[in-house]
Amino acid sequence: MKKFLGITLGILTAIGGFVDIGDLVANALVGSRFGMSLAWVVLLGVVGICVFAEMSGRIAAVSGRAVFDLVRERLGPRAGLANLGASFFILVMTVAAEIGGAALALELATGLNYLLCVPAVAFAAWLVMWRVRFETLERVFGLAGLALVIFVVALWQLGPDWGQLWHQASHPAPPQDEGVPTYLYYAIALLGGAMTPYEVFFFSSGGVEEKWTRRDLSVSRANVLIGFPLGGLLSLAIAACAATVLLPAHVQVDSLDQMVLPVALGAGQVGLGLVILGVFAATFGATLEVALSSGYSLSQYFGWQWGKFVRPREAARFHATILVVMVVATALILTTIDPIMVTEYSLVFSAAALPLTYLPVLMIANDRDYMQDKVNGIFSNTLGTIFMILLVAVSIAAIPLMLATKAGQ
Amino acid sequence: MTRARVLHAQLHLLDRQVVHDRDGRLVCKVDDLELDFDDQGRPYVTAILMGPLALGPRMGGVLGRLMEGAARLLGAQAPPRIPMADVSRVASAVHVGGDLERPALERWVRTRLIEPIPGARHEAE
Amino acid sequence: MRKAWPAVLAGVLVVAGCSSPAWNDRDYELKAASSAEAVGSTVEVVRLAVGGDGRLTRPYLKVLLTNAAEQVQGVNDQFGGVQPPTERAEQLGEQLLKVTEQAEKVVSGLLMEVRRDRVKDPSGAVRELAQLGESLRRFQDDHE
Repeated sequence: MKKFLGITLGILTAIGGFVDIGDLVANALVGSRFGMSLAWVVLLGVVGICVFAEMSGRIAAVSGRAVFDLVRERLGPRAGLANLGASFFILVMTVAAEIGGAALALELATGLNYLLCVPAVAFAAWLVMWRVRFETLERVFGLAGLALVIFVVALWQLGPDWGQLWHQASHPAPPQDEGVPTYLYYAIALLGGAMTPYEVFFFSSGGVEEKWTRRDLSVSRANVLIGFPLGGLLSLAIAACAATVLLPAHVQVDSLDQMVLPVALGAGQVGLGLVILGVFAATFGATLEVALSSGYSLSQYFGWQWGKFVRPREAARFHATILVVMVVATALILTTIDPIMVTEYSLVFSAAALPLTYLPVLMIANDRDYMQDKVNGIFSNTLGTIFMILLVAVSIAAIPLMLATKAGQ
Repeated sequence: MTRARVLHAQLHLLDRQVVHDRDGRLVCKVDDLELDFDDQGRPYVTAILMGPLALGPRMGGVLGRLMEGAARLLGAQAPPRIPMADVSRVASAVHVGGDLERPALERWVRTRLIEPIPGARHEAE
Repeated sequence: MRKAWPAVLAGVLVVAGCSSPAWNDRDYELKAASSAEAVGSTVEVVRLAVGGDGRLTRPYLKVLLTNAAEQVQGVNDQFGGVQPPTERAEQLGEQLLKVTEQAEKVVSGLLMEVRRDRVKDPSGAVRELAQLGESLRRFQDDHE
């Protein structure tokens, strides 16, 4: 049991990356428009995030340095600040969206307008970050998010045509009524969702919070190899549910209530209850992950004391950052801006900034000064280099594709 | 016996995390270095400089000047320094000893914003 | 150069207005098709949800129908605000609006029923929604 609880950091990180509010809807939308024909992107994303999260976890365990330390160290103060500015902007927007998502889940459960739930959700999230131990936080929300496994169960009960799903998955091309640019746009959005930079910010900082040392390298690896594939499985199950129920009915998912409909139809009221719980846990967990990441990245850039392993007064600037981010994000979402649209845009913008985060990780993972004998092997370096090339291509294509397809319409 | 290492100021010192030896506290980044010249005119590092007055000029441009100006406006005169004599080890972080005053911003945020919130002095539960 | 200003200003004002104009018949037709697609998608969601009525909770159904009603109304308002450039386009628009306004009525009627208690005649509603969905899809296919 204790061993199992040791991997909740990986699970929570992956849930925040693969099935946070933007990805929940994006996965269902992709399933309802393209069937399983974009499944290969999710698999590619799982491999990519595993490669870089493993490196960042190893760096954290061996040297005690988290990802934004590396960004500043390798990119220098100017390029580092550019990355910080872009990342921080995306993080604030994402926190706003996740708060909205958790409130939307409460709306589905109670019928109460989501805007009424927003302040309570935001306050609860702040309180958790202020008072609850890191290990407790990651266990409670990592495990509760596992309620989303109901998508796998529901898929089973819907009794889909497995041959048809497999046929879509093994023919990676857009369906007849969709264009290639739109298809590529959603491919980038899915890859950006799978490899969002805040996953490695959070994962490596979480390793430091848990005081990982060289002896914990196997724990780090287990977190990576179980957490992220699990996140990928959930996002495939969501897409498959949508492909089974919504694709034949020509529905194009654009809201949370539509996205959970297949589960309700497949697994009944219990399933509906579980999926709403899972969505709430995932978006609330993502709120924590992203808000903490904003504190981590700013503190690590400037060298401030950070972390929940010290008393709040010992890390005053870190906690002040989180407090301000929560207040700004709450105000943003209360303007009735659509939380789902916000994350979909921020996914694409963050796809454009991916190399700025992953390049320093790849460089430091090869630096004996930091890693001593634990530098990358040939396997990690080969995969890492291939993904760097891919990410550079993605970052160049992301914004032009977004403009050309009017954000995938 | 360990061999003496050649340290490259740009590569091994600048922009690294500074950690306090006694309690592992994170102090700052190596924002800039103070140099002096020996008899033969060779430069050597005398101190680590930190804070916006050290980082601003290195950053340059509008942002750098803005950072510097804001710090001066709030009454900072010279960047705080840690003499190299206090540095005990240079690895993935720069470890220092000695007694350090906490940065002004940290003190201000702590007393004005964080400490008034209940629970600021307690360990998390 | 000076003479360009009024045109630019007019352009900005038009774009800033809530509905974008249709420049010609084909443009209007495409707008109509995409409106039909959006309403059709929502109608189908409602059909699936009402069809599985017994398996859904009331608060959930209420939220789903509220969002659906808002969506259909939003599309209708937006499409209704577009000026048809020719008489032929005007006929086309009327043809579509007849169906989408019917859809709006059905969805908001269902919402009322759920607010009060629950859907009275699920199988009848499913049939009606299926017909609406079908005609919207046909419209979309014809004009895309």
